[in-house]
Amino acid sequence: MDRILWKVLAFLVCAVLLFLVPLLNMLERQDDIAYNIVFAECSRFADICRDTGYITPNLYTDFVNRLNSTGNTYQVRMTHIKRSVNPVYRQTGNTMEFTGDYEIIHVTRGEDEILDVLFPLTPLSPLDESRRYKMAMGDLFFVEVQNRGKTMAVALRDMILFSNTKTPCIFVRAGGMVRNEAY
Amino acid sequence: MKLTSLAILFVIIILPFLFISDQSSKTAAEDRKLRTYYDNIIDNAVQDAAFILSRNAHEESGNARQAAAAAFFDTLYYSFYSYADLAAKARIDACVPLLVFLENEGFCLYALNPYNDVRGQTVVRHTWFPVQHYIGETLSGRFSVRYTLGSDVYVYDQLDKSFYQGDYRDFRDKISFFNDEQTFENLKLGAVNNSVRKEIMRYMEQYNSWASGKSLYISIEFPSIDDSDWKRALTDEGILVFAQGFPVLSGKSYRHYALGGARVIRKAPIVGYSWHGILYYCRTDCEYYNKIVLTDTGFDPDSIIYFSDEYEAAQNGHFPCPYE
Repeated sequence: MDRILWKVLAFLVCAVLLFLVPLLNMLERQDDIAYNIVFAECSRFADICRDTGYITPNLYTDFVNRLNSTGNTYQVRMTHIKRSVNPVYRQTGNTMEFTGDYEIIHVTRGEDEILDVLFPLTPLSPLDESRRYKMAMGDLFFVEVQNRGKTMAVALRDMILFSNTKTPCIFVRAGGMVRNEAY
Repeated sequence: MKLTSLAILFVIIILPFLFISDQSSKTAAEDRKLRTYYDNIIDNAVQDAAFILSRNAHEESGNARQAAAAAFFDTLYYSFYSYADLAAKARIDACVPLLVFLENEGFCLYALNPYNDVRGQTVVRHTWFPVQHYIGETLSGRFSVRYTLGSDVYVYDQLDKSFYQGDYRDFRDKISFFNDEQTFENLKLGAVNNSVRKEIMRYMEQYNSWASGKSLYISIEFPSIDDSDWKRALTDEGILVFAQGFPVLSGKSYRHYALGGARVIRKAPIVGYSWHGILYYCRTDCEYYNKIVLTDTGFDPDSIIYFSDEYEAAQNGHFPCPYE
């Protein structure tokens, strides 16, 4: 009986050491590569959008396709922060009085609004100008990419260590000010 | 002992070592990722600020600086996802204590400064420090010189008690150092370097004595800057940013500096013309245009139109010049 237990234990240890650990190592390298690709693509996409001042449907689908080619699925979040300079009026009774000041108002536009412009309900050619999402010079534009669910490496590590990782292992943010209006 | 037991013993002994080295290498990799991320954000923010600065170059310099500083912090706050979070903003402010704006006539610090507000509470915010000039050493024992980033100088003659202003070449007969362009450039760079460095050092000393013992603010140090970077920063209008103390995982504390050049690059305007019945456009310094098109007797000079950029030219039906 004792011998059989030892054999089972030896078998398990062998399985872990011979197969799972090298596999885990390999998958982790794959994650590193995926991170680098996502990082590069994300910066590229954000830079193109910032340098041209608009997003086209083709650009966006191309970006998402490139991300998906890494074998994981990703959640892409875009934010466009619209900047407008407004005069400040003070209301006294019924009259509006100009205070001489101005203020800068930031309006954040989320992913939904951007995607609604890029992919409208009515079918249009992707090159149609109304499908461009336009931003103004001086606005801010950010892209955030994180992987959905678990990557293979994380899943395998969770299996070996009996843990449950909730944080995304690939998380990239890029963006900044829009510098051009080339539309 | 059997061979299998020996193997298991070996694995048990070696496993902790492997684990620890694996963990530390992973931490180092994550740490590097984090630092690159910070570098990226700060470089980006400085570029944005420099962009605003060069776009508002025609404005009064104070306004342009204000707009640039606002743009810098806007980008930074949004990059760290903390625009609505005052505590996070204060944290970021504490990590970017010092911005230096270099302008033609002088430079200006935009730095964290504690002061008492109207209610008597201490407020720590970025404030503008007075503009400082680039003062050089006294030349020939009598000339005090104030430099600008360009070729203009202000000279005070201590013997004659007189003040002059103008291009450095105008003072060649008076000040022998200005005969050679290279000598002048060296003197200017030395003056700019010394005044900027001295002012930054002075600020850092003041800041450190104030910040010591406060957990949010870390003591700042003058970072080691490449000589070539430093030279590049000081010969042109622009922004210099020191960022320190962003949280990292291992190793030395985070320290980064970033430069943004705000030089307004004036592109040659675009010229459009008709050549053999086809509309073309090119830069005004295009060789083909200057040497062949303009000198051709058959060329109709009335067809020349100036455009502000390629887009405008193409919109009016002009093709790019194929020889450029």
